[in-house]
This record gives sequence, structure tokens and C-alpha cells, in this order.
Amino acid sequence: MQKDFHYYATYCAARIAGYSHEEGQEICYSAQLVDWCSATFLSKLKGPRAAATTQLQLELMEARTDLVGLQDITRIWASFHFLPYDLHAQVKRASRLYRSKYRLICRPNGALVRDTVELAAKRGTQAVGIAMHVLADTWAHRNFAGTPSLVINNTDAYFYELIDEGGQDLWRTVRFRHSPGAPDDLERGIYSNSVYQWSENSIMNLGHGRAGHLPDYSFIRYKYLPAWAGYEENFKDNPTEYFKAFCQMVRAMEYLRGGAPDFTVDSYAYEAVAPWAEEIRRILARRQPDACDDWRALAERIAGREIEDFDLEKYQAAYLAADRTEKDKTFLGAFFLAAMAHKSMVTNAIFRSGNLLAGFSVDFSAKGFRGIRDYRRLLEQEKGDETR
Amino acid sequence: MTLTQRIGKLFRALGSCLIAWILIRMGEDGFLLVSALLSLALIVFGARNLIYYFSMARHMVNGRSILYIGVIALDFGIFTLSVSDSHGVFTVLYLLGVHAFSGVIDILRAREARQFEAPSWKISLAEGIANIGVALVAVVFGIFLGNMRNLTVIYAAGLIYSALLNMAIVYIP
Repeated sequence: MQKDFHYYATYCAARIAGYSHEEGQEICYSAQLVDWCSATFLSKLKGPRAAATTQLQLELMEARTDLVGLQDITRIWASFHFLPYDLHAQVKRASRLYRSKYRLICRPNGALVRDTVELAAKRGTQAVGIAMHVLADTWAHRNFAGTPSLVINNTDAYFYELIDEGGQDLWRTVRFRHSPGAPDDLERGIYSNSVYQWSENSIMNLGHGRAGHLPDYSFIRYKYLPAWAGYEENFKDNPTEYFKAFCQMVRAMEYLRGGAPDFTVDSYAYEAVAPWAEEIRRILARRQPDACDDWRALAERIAGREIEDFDLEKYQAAYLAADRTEKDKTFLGAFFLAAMAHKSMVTNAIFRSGNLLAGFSVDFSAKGFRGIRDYRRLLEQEKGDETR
Repeated sequence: MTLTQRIGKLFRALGSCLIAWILIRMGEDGFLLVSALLSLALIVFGARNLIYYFSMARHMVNGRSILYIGVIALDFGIFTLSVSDSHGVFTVLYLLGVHAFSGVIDILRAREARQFEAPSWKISLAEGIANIGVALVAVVFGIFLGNMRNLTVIYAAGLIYSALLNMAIVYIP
């Protein structure tokens, strides 16, 4: 998904769920920051490297694909953009490595979605924003895994888009090109994707790179053969799926602000969204590379006031100016801690399932503190919360 | 390109330069060494692909292409090993054939890259034309004019040219 959904649509969902304007802005800011909080961003702020929620294109080009490098990539992408659906999925007569990769395939409504929302319930608006990003991406990035893998993430020439031609639905072959700088040509159906690399762990085989930006467009409907699905065709109807994602976000945020007793997966706030449903469906179905203007207009109608645009610089000065001991109390400090808490939870779940692709996760209660030093801050915060 | 890939490419380029130097120093006998090395590389490549196919790629859509690549590479590797045993001229001809074939593959890759509007097509095309050109010139000089020394130098020059191209790719930001 893109800024249109992660920022403006998340704001709309937060307001429909009952959050105030200020809370809604913080939530959507945090949801969008997930796509910006890279190692480069953190090094500029001297923030904890372990809080990285994404990797920029140039970082990925330079990323190591040895064991440690792959674990770092998997921790980031599986935690924040491709949340695994079933960590115990079975594959007949498969090697352990194949099974481990297969189990990282992302899909909505997995047990980890519930855990993500419940973890955010204990934290602030930053954690809510992160959880909404993760939840929304489970719909957009369905069928791809947040680890480099040819055998899971590859696509082939069998790729068709369902387009509306004079009121009739027609299948048109999707043409891909490897030109990252060139914008997608929606009219002619020419999209950029990553280059085919037959090396299993090539960075080109991370997530939905081989399917280009298609999973991130709300309007698109397409069919293709997922590499892992045994030649079974998969039809992806993004307008329908994105609408469900929106309703599920509202449902999750109703729970997070205390308006609902619990959160169960596969539940959607259709009734609360009903007054805006027609407008939302119209925005989702409109064929355009970026729906920010439409979503902002809707957000401003819901809020009855102007919505700030996303500004990456917004909270940086406050974080840089804060004393070392006070940093975690700033907006960005709280975001970093929430990101580490989420990454820690997902990594631990992957590790406990017997899968080492995201690295080791040491149980603090059994073995004490081990591993990445940045997580001490998270531990100190947890201890502080318990004392209070 | 990652740092590991760059280092790998650099080592392969340096390896090619080393082989070229050995060829120039050893003359015709050097071809035996080259064919033995080529054979080893193909066998390892083929075996790796077969292992990859049976452990992972057999579950993948179109994964059978990995199996075919593995079998063909392994077969070529074993064939190359058997050719090394035969008369020197056959070994040389075979190696030149392989060199020309790799040029054809480069041109096919360039064609594919151009179809996908990837900027790398020009360098692939140049590499392909150079590889085929070197093989042809080497055949003309060595086989038809009967000058094996010239053939060896031309072949070695071709290897150095490929290595330099690879090194250039390593340093392109």
C-alpha cells in the first residue's frame, strides 16, 4: 500500500473508530512513518538501529544476503510489511528450508494480526499506527513473503489485468519492464518490476518486487500464478480487498480505544463505515497511481477541517533536542520503542515456530538479556511500566 | 549489486586474468588447464542447481527450468572433462565453441534486457559481440593459418577483455 491508504485512509478509519482529530493525525503519521523509518533515517537521528521498519531501495541494493543479512531483512519485512499468516503451515515432502520460507507467506486474518493489535493496545498512538500499517499490508501483500525467495515470490509471464473496456470486463496481458525510474503506464498496462534473478536469495526476489507495484494499487484486479501455489491461478480483487482492509482497521481501532470488548480476526466494522462506504468504494476503484487527493478530501469531510500532509521532518527536532533520558518520551522515541516491541514479538513468534529465517529470539524471563543492545531500552520501558 | 556480489565478480575477473596469463606463458598446454577448470566450474554449477531443484525449486511454478539447467551444465562439465583428454586441437576448438556460445547467450540476454527496457542491454550486447568476435578471429588465425601461438594470445586477450568488462561492472555505482 502507499501513502494514500497508509496516511489518509488510516486517518479516516481512526476518526470513524472514534479517535479525536489529534489522535487520528498521530496514528496516520505513525502508519506512514513505517515506510520511512530506515537505517539511514535512524542514523541521521542517532536512533536505535533495531527500530528500522523498512529498507530504502539503495539500502537494499547494498544489503548483505549472507545468513545474518537475510535475517535482518526478514525481521524488517516480515514484521512490518508481510506479516506471516501461518507459522506452522504444512507442505508435503518439502525440505526444512522450503517449509520455513513457505511459512512466511503473508495473508490477512492470521493469528499474528490479532497479536499485533493486542500488543498495540498496551501502547500509545504510535503503536496503533504501526499496527494499522501491518494490518493493512496483510491485504495488499497477500501471497508474498517478507524474505528474499525465488521459489516463493517469483512470478512468470502468466499475468493478466482485468480492465473495463467500454463497460465490459476484459483480460489484458500485463507487460513488465525493469526500469525503476520510469512511472507505470496505467493506460497501456506497462508496469515496472524487479529483474528475474535465479539466485534464491537475491534481493530482487524480496516481497512483491517481481509483481511490481500492482499489489499496492487499490484499483487493480489481476490474476497470476504465485510461485508456491502449484500452478493454481490466483485472482486478486484489490478494490474489494482494500475495502475489507479499511473496515478491519476501523474494527481494530474501535477495540484499541476501548469501544469494543475484544478484537477477533475476520471481523469488520461494516456498519460504522456504511455512511462513507459508497465514497470509499469509488476512491478505491478509481484508476490512478496515487489516490492521496481523493482520500484527503474524504478525510477533510469526515473531520470538518484541514488535514496536515505527511512531513517527515515534523518530530525530528524534538527528538534531537531531547536529553538522552528524555528521548523515549518524545513522539519519535515512542515510535521507535513501539516498532522494536512489534519486531520483537514477530521475531519471537517466528523463532518459536522453529524457523530461523528471522534469527534468534532469546526468552528474557528464562535466560536474561542477550542479543541486540538496542532492545535494552525496550526492556527498561517495560520495567518502568510494571513499576508504575 | 551487493558488496558480496561485487567481490565475487572481482574475483572471477581476476581469475580470468590469471588464466589468460597462464595461457600466454604455457601456450597450447594451457588449454588443458583451462578446460579442466571449466569442467570443474560446470560440474559444481550443475550440481548446485540440481540440489536447489530437489530441495526447493521443484515446488515452484516453472521450477523445472532449474532442473534442466542443472542437468545440461553437469552434462557439459563431464563432456568438457572427457574432451580435455583428447588431442589438443579438439580441446582448443571446443573451448572456442564454448566461448562463442557464451557470446550468443550474452546477445540473447541483451535482447531480453532491451525488451524490458533495462539499461544493462548495451553492455551485454558488447560482451556478446566481443566474445563471438574473439572466437572467430582465433579460429581464423589458429586453425586456418595454423598458428597456435597467435590463437592462444587472441583467446587470452578475449579473456582479459571479458575480465575488464566485469571489473567495470563492479565499479559502476
